[in-house]
Amino acid sequence: MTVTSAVAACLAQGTILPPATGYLLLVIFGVLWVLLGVWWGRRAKSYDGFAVAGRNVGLALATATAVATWITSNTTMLAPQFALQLGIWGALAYSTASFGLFAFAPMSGRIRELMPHGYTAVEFIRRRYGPVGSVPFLIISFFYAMTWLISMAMAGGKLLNVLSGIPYEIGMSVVVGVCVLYTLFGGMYAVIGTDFIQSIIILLGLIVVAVAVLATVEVSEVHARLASERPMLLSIMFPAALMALFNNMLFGFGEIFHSNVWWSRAFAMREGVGPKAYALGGVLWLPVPIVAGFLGLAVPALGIGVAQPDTAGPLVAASLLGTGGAVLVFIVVFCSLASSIDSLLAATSDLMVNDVIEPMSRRNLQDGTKRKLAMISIIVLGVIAWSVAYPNIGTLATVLFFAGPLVGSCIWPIVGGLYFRRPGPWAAGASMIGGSAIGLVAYFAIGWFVASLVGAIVSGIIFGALTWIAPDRFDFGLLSRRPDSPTDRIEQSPLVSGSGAS
Amino acid sequence: MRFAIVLSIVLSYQTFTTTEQVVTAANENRVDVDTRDTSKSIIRFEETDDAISQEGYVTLAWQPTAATIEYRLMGESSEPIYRGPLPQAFVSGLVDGDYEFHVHAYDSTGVLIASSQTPARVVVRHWPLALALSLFASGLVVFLSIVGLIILGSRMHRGPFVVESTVEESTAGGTI
Repeated sequence: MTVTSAVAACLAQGTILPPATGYLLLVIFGVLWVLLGVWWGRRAKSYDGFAVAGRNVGLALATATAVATWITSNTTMLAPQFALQLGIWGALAYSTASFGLFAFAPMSGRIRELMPHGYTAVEFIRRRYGPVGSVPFLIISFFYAMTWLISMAMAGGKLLNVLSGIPYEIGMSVVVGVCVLYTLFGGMYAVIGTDFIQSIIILLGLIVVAVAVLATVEVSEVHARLASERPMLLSIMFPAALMALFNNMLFGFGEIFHSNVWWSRAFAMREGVGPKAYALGGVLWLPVPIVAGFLGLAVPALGIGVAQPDTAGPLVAASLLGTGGAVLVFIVVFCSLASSIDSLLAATSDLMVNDVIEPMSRRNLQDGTKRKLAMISIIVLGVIAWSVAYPNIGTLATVLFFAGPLVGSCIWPIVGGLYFRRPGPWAAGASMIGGSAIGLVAYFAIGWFVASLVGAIVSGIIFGALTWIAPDRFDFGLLSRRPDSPTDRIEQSPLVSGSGAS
Repeated sequence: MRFAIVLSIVLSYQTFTTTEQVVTAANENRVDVDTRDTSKSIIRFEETDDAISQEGYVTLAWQPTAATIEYRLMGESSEPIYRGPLPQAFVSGLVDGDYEFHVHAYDSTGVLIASSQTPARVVVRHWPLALALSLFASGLVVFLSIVGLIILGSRMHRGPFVVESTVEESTAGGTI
């Protein structure tokens, strides 16, 4: 593809967009998000309002926040990479991440029903399994949340630098700073509100890219080039791709089932909304990685040289659309990053307040105090993410892949604990630790494409065996009590088992 | 093409990287021109030993040469596998076999200014299909088990949840 003269002029200076355009877009969207955060934040008067948006989010906003949060910068970059590495199976494998949203749909209804006053996933595990389950789960949750947050901050700095030449340090700082500011002012109200706008922008942007690709290259041409140059990408018996399919699906299951990003939304949604919102979100998200994956498969037909597979998607999109494409990619990337970072800040601050500070304080924290602590936590998380991301150590990002077996090993304790009385604390704790350990061994011995799968298999075997050997009799009624009731206060102590075994 | 160049350079930063990318990420700075090789007009691959790939993809990297505008990575076909400014290329979709790759460097006038003398050799031996299919089947079983458990649990607890006051009475939430 030829490049427009305007783009060519920018390239002469070493950038795709002029830095001035990049700064202008950054200022426009940064100010917009902060103003919207302040606007929506007016409603967040109580801690319930700040943390879970008053537990009254409707279907449209709930669906949009599920879609926007699940579309990260990884979706637009990793899906084409999967396709280029693992072919048709790879594109399908990435799209199976939407199955996590489908599976979580009924679970969100159950969560809302069981814990009408709940705030976090760790709170559920603590009250369901006690410290034996909650300690490993808390560690996994923080590890996953922080690595995701830091990798998103780094991706923000790097991608804005790619697109407009804005220095990494400035781009990363602005992305983190803007997200911290509007989450600080508006809490979950701001997060969900901005997610709604961001999801619309992202989906429209991807539609434009998809139309541009299909208008430029024939599907039959893509197939012909792949068949002659990269035949394995079309093979139905591609071993690594076959292994990756369910691995990726289970990684997605683990991410959604365990992460407080999704639990906090389940708590925030109006009663009865969660199942519909997550199912609809899955339907809307499903085509996104397929479209993005097609960009990767179209690389040979378009004659684009790919030095690194993760560059395939943005390369194709920007090459096809010229200056407008670069602006579009910039906006979509900024929205994708913001919609994930704000969710992580809000959800992880809930973990800090409800699962670390309050249990450690051993007293009932007042509503206003929790609200202040949540704001302080958001600032602390933002500062930590900024500090770790600032040196721009590239290998840090790879740590996020270690989370695959860890989150995969959380699937069974969560599903089993939500619906059945028999799973007990030792089944939960041992399955998380055993699944994580063996999954990590598989990561290094075989590859990333089996780690979550192995983690989930091992975790499931341990969980099933220990549930059979030492069944519990949990009382689900304990979960529905207010966390500040005297009974639950005792249960929340890390020294006392929260399992309701009689 | 320059459009792609800039993207490639900066997007070599990545959030989600594979093992191969870790290697290449460490070599990001190699886009700076190395003048040592220009007099020899020889391009050296980073690794020329038989690199084994079990996934059918590999990232080939070579030492950059001065004044190069475009590298072309050649395999068995007469068409270049990669054309671009960066001293590395991602090759995927390879079936089982032994492969040799050569790279050529061209200046701004399109003149060939350097080539590799020793090819990069790549051996592709995919994972055994039996292992892949057994893991695929295991994944399918795990997936169906999880979905089955969710469906079973949801059916068991269909209807409004009633909070019971004592453990003994707490059967409204359903039991197994």
